[in-house]
Amino acid sequence: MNPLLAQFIPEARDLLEQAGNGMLALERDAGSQSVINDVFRAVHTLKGSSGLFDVGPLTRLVHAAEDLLGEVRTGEIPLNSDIVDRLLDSLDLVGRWIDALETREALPSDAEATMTERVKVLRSWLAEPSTAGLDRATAPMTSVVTEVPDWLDRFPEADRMTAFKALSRPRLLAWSFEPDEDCFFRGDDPVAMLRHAPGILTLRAGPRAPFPTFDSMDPLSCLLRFEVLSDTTRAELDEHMRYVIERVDIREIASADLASPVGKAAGGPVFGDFGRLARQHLAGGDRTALERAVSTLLTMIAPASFQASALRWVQAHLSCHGLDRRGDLERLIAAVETGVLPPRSEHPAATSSAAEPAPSPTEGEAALHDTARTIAAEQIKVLKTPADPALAQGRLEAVATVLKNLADALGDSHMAAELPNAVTAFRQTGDLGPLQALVETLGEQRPEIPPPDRIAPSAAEPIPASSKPGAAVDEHGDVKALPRVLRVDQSKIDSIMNLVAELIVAKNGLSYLATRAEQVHGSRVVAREIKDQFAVIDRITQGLQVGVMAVRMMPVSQVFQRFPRLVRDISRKLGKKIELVIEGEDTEADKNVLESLADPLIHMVRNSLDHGIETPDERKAAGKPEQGVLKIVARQENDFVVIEVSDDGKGIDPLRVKAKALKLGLISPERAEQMNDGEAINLVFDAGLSTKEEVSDLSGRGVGMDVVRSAVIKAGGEVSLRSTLGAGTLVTVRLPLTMAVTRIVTIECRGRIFGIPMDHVVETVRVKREHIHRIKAMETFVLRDTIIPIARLARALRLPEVASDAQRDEEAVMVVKVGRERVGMVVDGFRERLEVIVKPLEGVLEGLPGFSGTALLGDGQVLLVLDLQEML
Amino acid sequence: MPIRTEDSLIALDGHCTIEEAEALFEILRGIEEPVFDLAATNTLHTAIVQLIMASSGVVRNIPDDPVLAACFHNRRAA
Repeated sequence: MNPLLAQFIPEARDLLEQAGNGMLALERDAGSQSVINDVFRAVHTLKGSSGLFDVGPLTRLVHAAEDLLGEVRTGEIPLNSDIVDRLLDSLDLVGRWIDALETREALPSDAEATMTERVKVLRSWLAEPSTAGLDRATAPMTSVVTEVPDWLDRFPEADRMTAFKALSRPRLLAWSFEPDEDCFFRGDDPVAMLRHAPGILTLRAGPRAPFPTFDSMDPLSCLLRFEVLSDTTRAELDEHMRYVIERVDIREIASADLASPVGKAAGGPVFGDFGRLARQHLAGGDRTALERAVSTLLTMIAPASFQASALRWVQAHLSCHGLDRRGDLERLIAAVETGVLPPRSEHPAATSSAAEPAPSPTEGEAALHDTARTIAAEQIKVLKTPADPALAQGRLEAVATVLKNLADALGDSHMAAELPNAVTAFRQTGDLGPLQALVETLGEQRPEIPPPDRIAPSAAEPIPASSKPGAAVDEHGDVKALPRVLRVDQSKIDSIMNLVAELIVAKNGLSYLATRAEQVHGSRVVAREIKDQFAVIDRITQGLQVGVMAVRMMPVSQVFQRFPRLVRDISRKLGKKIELVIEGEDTEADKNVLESLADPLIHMVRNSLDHGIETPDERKAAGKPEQGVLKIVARQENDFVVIEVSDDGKGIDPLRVKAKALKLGLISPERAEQMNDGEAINLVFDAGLSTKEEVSDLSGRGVGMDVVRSAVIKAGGEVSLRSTLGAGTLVTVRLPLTMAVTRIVTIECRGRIFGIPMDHVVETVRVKREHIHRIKAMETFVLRDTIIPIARLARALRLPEVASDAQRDEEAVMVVKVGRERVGMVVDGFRERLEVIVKPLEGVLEGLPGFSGTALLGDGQVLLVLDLQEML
Repeated sequence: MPIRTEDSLIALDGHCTIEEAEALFEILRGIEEPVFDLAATNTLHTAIVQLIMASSGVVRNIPDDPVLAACFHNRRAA
């Protein structure tokens, strides 16, 4: 395959997944700008990279999706479930096309036709007249922030004054741009982007943090930050910066915000006199007199003083606007008089009425804010401490309540509104980011007034990022360094794994060699030296094995991430209201284990949705909340990964299960009598049992749970089910963390060696002949007050009888666990324990019952590993 | 080659793209106080601009462009 295409395929899948997850998140919270930006960017990147290949229909379909998303992003088209459905459908289709590309390096033949149809549907929304009633030219991509950025004063007075004079309208945009560190690799050239930005008045450029020493610099990593004043509209700027919009913080400010005097305030009676005089002239409308007063005073005082700066602004104002905008003039005159610029009394917001003048916080309020922030910061600390999963949920709720109360107390509506989303984000992904961002901006709803005596630093100094809420965009962006990830073909890892396996076997050969050296050649010293070497190689091999295993470990989120979509689709189809709660996504397991888990889990989730959780009406009638909860929890227990799928639905009726099993002849009437409820419920794992009367297209064909069980058992795990009628069902799956290396016990039977997986072995005992009793046709013995049935391995394997059998007065019995029952297996003797790689039977041996596979022993013998489940 | 060096003088010609960044970086590591001459350039990639900003050098003949003027604002050769 063309290497470029080979790279494109996994990348495309990642992007599709990102977009898909984003869409689901958007459906819950349509207002989240950062999510919509992510989705848009993923789809945009996909469109761009697909253009490199001969996949026209794919590119055009993705393009249509991008356009639709673009409109959603600008708020032109409100997002609804229909649009999400269509977009997800289209992404699914693209996913199938990618699969086709991988296998055949070409799109399916019907791609063109399917694409045309889909594109028509997607474009139909675009064609609809704007329902939001917004004029496209004025629709901002992000909410309009009118707060003055704290870096505005750092522009030299002369630059601000030039901008002030050049302005064609009363308002302007003050925006900062911090290109992504990796932006060069994507072909971005921020300087070129700025050069073509609309209406630039003036700008500042500098490093975000001081440059590292020159020698240690990475010339291909972008460390710059730009601060720009532009005389343009929000829409135009949004359009220009649309592909990096999340790296941009745009504020719409008034031209009067530029007129901020800088310098050290001077003192003296002359300023008070000027104030009185200037106000007189202003009241009298005498512009010439005012101008004269200003220039006179300017010649008298130090040009670097605050008052001189304010006077120059008065001059600039007079020359541009004359005596208009009197409020601004009065403010500047007061600045000359007092040495402090009073806050702007009115904030003539052109676009919104939200820009009410903010009262400056009183001291009491400030103290309240400080306390609140401390409390909030503590909450984050609490969440950062690792917790028992059983406690985590309660703790999160407690924290959420505290934060909500804090937000209410401070009147922080932004936090109150965003909090539930941030909490959900944390619960589902463990990502503290959104919560932390909220806490950090707690109570910051008002513009801050910069201290008047701040002196503008020179442009050579680094430009630190603004700490205002508007900059929080950065925190959702990808400021943090990308993890260094290597994409490796799984077959390469598998071949390393096989080599490690061979090494383990070869290593076992050394201990045979040591024994031979001692027994055959009589050299104890050599034997000991070989053993020493063996110990060293053993240690390295183990390290190697652990290392390779770690590479193959993946978080279960790989499997879980498809569930939000699945649950959404199914619950919509069934008309049920379901909340999906996922916990422990970070739990890791071997890739093969996870793959073997994927299908059973889907069955389990579907079962819960279809049979478990009731319709809203049924739930209301049963006195439950309308919305059902489906919970998927993963955790690690020793060498096992445990996955629990639980719902708060109607549970399973043991009597019905029993009746059905009886009817189908799965159990005998006597067995039904003896069964307790727990056992009866677990009958659902038997083939052919489904209690739901009608067959739905989701589940209920009576194949669900037995498929689950056989898949889990095949992967070396076990599955069990608990259910309370009317209260819900819990299915627990336990799987080994890794399937690669199996610990086995070897046993001898009629001169042959067999292996038994250690997981099945309960204990080994020697039982006297007279203690073995016959109950009907079955041999049994009593082990610590429990009757254990006996099976003879030789008989089960149909190995020839040997004369010595009859003479033994003691039997070697290995007690093994098969399913939930214990069986004593009579063998001829116990041998050593080994770690081996069990290879499945292949070729002519494939499908041979009774054996799960073969393993190679250190002396070159092939060991057959028994499959007890099938044999006994 | 759009980069010409003569002692500590570094003249950039024509379009300086990202491809030149590593070469310029290597050159600059060997020069104490470089002097950049931009008389013959028309465009500089951000990576080149950033290297000049991070170096200890001064710049002469800055093109008439507000973005470059801002970037090299404190680097203007006397």
